[in-house]
Amino acid sequence: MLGKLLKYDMRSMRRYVLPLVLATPVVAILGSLALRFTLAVLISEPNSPLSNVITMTASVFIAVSVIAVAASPVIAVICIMMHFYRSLYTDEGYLTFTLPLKTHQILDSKIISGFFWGIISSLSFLVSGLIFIIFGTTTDTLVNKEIIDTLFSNSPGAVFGIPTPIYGTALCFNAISSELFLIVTLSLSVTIGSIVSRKHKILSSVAVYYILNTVSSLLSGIVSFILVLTASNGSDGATLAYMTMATPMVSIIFNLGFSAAAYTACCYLMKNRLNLD
Amino acid sequence: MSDAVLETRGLYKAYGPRTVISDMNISLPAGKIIGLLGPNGCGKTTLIKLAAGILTPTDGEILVCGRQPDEVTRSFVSYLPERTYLSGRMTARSAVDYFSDFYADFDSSRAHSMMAHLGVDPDAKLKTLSKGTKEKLQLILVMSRAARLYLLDEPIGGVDPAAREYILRTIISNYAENSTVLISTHLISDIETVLDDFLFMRSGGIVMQSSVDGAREKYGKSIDELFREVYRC
Repeated sequence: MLGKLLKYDMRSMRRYVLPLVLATPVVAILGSLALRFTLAVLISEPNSPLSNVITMTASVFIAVSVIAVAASPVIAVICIMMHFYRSLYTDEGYLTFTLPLKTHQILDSKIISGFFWGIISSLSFLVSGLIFIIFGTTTDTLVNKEIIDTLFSNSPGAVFGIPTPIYGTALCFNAISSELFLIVTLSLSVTIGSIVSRKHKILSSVAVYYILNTVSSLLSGIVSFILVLTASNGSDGATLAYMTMATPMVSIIFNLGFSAAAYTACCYLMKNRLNLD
Repeated sequence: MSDAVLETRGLYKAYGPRTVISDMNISLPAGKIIGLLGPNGCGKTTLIKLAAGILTPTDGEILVCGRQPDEVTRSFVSYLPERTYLSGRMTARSAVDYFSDFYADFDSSRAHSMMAHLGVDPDAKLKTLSKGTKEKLQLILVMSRAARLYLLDEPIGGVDPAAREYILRTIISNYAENSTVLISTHLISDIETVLDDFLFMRSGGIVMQSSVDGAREKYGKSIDELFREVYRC
């Protein structure tokens, strides 16, 4: 049964998120082409009136494309949450909550599909960002190799002697756990918002998310601060390396811990406090 | 253990300070078509929603075949709400597939046959259909299940009289001997002929529960006339 609901949820989210995921790198390619073109014009004809007009126009296009790329994961998360809200707490909820499924199966399906499309949209954003950086910042070659080398050699992991694969894996897990935390916390916020308010459910959900996010940031900030204090006895390379690795690890533990707590709370509320208008 | 299909014990439901259902104790037997009748705001929809499991009781309990509403009761309760719960992006055909995927007791061929009888285009997007057609489709989906309890909230309110007759015939012919149909409606004269029993509700409580034949015999009136007398403003 979970598989069946998951199939429908995946399809439903795909309708909104997939076009966004595909459009984002295309916008990034167009933006980076405009960036290359602008750089080329500036190098070849730095002060001509025509180059000024071209660079002004291209700059506007570049700015718009950068904003569009930066906004894409946010829009994707909004789409995912609107699907969650619509299918559970509007008229469609009358169907969803009367399917012969356990409450946790309904929640699992929404979270798995939301998490999947959230990761896909984040990857699309990452690829788009790299397109800008690697293809848009050079005019001589196809890719800017210098900037790739700089990125790798100046990463905190590399600076403090942590092998890149280990540091990269830690960052990847941190990003994945952050996405999970985001989806589960938003699901809990929408659930609380829909239960406590009968007229302004979305507004209430946003307020609840703000509160939950502030509390979790505060708690993880306090733990990180304590960690820094305890580690700051020494300033040698080993201590700095330890802190560099410890930061994403603490974040992962917090993300997973908060996600588990938010999931449990969300499941409890959906099962015991459900009141569809 | 009770044989009742739907039972409430000291059921109480409030929205904040407003009480909607108050100390309700009912027991509905299997194999009956039961009318849930009463004026607006008397708690009919709330009672049905509680039985469907989309509302949580404030106090007391509601049992469907001896169980509190859960995923098991949902597998044998067929619920028709008073609103459109299907996504506008769906077609009637995809809605049938959806029900077929989730409900083991759903009969797709019966649904398609009823759609053909009632003129519901299987490939039209639901957002392009009229309110009445959407209501017909939802009723088709709900009545195409071989459920033990049908909860129908205003099933004929939005459809034309000709379709209404077909729908009522469908309800009678589709429900199995051991199934119970609970119908909430204002259109008493239309459904009176199909009812076995009825419940009159007022202010969140039951003011009368009887068999239709018994009430006719006792009061010498139709249920419609009795309703008008009981709820005279």
